[in-house]
Amino acid sequence: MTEIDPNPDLDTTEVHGADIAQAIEANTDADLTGLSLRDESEGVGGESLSPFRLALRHYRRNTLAMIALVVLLLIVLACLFPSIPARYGEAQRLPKTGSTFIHAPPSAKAWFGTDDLNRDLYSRVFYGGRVSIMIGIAVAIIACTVGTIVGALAGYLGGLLDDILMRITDIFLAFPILVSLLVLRNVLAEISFIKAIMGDKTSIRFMVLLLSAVGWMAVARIVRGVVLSLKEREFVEASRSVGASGPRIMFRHLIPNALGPIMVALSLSVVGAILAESTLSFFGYGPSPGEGRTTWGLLIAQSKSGVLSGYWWLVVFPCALLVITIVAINFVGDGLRDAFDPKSDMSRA
Amino acid sequence: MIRFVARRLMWTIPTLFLITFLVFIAIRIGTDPVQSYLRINPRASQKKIEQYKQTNGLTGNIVSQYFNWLHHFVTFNWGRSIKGSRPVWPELKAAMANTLVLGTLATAVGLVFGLAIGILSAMRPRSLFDQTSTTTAFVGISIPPYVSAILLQLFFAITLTRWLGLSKPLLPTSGIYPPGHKGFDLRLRLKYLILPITVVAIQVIAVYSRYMRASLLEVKNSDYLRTARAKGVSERRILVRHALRNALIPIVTVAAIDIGGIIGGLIITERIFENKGMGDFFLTAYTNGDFPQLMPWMVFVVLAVILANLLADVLYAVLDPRIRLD
Amino acid sequence: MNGEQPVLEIRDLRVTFPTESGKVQAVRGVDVTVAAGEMLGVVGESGSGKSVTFLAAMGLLPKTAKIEGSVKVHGQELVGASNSEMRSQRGKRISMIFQDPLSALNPTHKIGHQVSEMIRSHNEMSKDAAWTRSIELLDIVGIPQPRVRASQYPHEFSGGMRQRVMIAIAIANDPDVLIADEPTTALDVTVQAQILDVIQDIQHKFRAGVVFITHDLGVVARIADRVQVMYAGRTVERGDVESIFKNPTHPYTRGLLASLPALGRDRLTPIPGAPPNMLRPPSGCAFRPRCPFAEEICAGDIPELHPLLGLETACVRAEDLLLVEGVA
Repeated sequence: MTEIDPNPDLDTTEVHGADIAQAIEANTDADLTGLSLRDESEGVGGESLSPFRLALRHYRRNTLAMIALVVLLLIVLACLFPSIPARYGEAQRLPKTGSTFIHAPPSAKAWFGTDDLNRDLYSRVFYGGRVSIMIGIAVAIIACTVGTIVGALAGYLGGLLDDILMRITDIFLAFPILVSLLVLRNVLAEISFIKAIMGDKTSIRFMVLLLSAVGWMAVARIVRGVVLSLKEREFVEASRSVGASGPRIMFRHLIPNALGPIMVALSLSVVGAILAESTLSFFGYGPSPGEGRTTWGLLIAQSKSGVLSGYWWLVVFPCALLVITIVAINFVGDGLRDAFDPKSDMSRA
Repeated sequence: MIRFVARRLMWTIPTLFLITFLVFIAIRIGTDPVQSYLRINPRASQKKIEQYKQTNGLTGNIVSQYFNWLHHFVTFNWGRSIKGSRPVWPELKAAMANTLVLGTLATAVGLVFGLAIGILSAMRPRSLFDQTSTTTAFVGISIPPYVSAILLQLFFAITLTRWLGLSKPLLPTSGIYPPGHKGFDLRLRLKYLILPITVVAIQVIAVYSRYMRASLLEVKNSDYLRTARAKGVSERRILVRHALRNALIPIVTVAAIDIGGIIGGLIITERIFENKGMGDFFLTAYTNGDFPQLMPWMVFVVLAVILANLLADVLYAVLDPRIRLD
Repeated sequence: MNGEQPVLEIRDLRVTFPTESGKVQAVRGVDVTVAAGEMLGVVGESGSGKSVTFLAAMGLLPKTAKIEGSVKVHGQELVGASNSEMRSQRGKRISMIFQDPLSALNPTHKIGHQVSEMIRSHNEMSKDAAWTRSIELLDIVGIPQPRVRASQYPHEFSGGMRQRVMIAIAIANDPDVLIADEPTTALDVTVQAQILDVIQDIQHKFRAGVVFITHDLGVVARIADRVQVMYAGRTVERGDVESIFKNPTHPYTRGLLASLPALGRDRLTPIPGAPPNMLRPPSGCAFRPRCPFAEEICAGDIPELHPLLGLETACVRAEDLLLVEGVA
């Protein structure tokens, strides 16, 4: 979704662009004299910061985004190395406690309670997170790489490639994503060489392929938009006029300058992939990670049956961890957007 | 305007033609109807299979099969489902009616609350209300609908009932009417709709309160609002006639295009609350590989998306004099 | 000035904006006086505080801005006035034209409505009567076929025509003070001249006190009666237009004039350096870091305006410089 978060308090302090300074001082860089107050305050003392370091500085000042980043890192680390936070093995069944064989409510022995096989939910939440988060990261990397290349090419070259890209993504983005995923899932599974490489449609690799196949489109559109606007800017024109080659312009100028939007797209892709995986799992079309193993989507899907029996812990804890993770990623993404686009800053502070 | 709409409607036909062809191919590659038929009727004789292929136009190459299907479709010969061999149209019609009720009510509720919250936020940026509502909305868009659905179900079916010591849940958590109910009963129907509407509306509120806030802040920052203020126009009139009027333009168009997202949310919600609508219809048909059911469903969804896009363009032109259609 | 009460009188105006990095002192004690039927040119570069001064006078700055001092329109104090008092003055006794007429007009309202709105905000008048009056006003500012044009939208107008509309709106209630904030900057040169004519016409016809904010000294020379030069939130020099162009006393004004292209001048001499950071303006004379004549004395107190050769100048070394020049 497009975000427009203008800062209402800066408008009048920004003075008119074409001003006397340009007339007086033909030698001075227009950017310098047209500085807004905010930019001046950034460059105090004459030190000049690269856009990347400036963004970093902006980000660090955003308390909410910093908290989200810490929470996210803790969750990701805990899930990538689940044996550290976990208290029992992934498939380990706890011994009988009191009169309950299975479905034990939260207690000192099992903080989040146990499931239908008396396995510790607290431990399984992290083991499940490993698969979900790894799928999320893998899909985001693939989708962003493919999306960046396709989007940059389409934006830079334009023409037929651009038309095709826009039409395909138009169709897909207008459709409910769940429908696209489900239909595509069956199609990809029938293509024999994909089957040979990626395995069955319930494999994790297949899920990564499926989610990437849909996920790259949003990234490509974002990058295309950025490249289209950068293409006409002076520095690109300048390097073209001195004979820089197409690939050089693309990799030295366009893609680095699109880094901010790409990083935001990356965070959106991770969220999209985790959500899509868990939604597919919820309806029984997700990956099956193997006997005794699980994912967040599977944990929540299996809790469905517990709802009407009142096993609330089966529902609440996996949902909570999933939602906290997604909220954290979204806040980090939002912080990145603000950091790379100072104009949109201070909308939440 | 009328010419534009007429031309766009004419274009709808080739677009539908192309997209249904692509969808047809995709579904045919993904789910072989003969396989689906055999899975559900494992002891079907060769003769039965041949008969099934004949009635569903599954003979010849894939292109001619598409035209067979198209012919059946436009002559309203929509056939029967593979599972249960029930006629497709009556069920699809009922599903559409249910979805229309749920979708329209949920979107309306969501838009009213979402826009109101967004307006209040933008009027006092960085106030306590603004910070609370933007943060809540941010959490709201991070909650997948099936999570909010299942949590609401748990809360109303079990937790609340236990707390209040009730004999039966305060709100029904699945179905459209109680089992065995016949006829129409508005109060009962609404009672069953409350939770599904809530789930879909949460998403709508979260998304549109953010859109509205951003759009109104952008307009508040515009030069023409400063002009209005310089004219000595009252704040109330500035808000209603200048700010809201212009801030709503992008919102209305986005809302019209967003139908895909609404349908996606409905698929999930309908399934969890056993609300027999289009979403549930699709999931069932997909699970059964029920080709005769899937294709008409796709046609309606594609048509809905195309018409929503047309509506968005028309609304845009009506609201913004800068936009000319043609 | 001729003993008459000034229509606009600003005394020791100070405007600060709180920001994350501290207080930005955009305006640091500015006096302005405008008489009826007079045109004051206000000149300065980006960030000199010239626009902020008059936006503050109009009460159009964001609420976070801190405004001190006095702004009187026809003797009535506006600083500290309630919102409704302020609103009743804005558009009636003091009105404003902005730089970019496209963004300053509401894109979704008809031109006629935008003029009518100004009229009806301050007068009990029926919609029809206001509409008729709007058409008259559009005619006054030189818009052809005003009856047809009134029903059109801003995007159907050219830049110059839009600025005429803005002027029509601004004069709708026959204001005492008209503030024109760079009204010609966004326009083509030929159109600029037409708009200047319209503004001068209004000045004479309506006997309004006009403040013309600009960075274009050429425009000022052509239409203003008096000039006020601003730098870093303060007035550095003011006086009647002829004296300033003939004998500028402040080095900054001289710098501005030297950077103007003129007949018989081989090269333009830019002022070196950039305007100061208004978070921490330099002590003493703010122009000191860029001034070729700066000496120790310039770093002392912030210099006040004092009379010299029929002008008022804020340069403490103005007299010395005249002597040096006299010798040279």
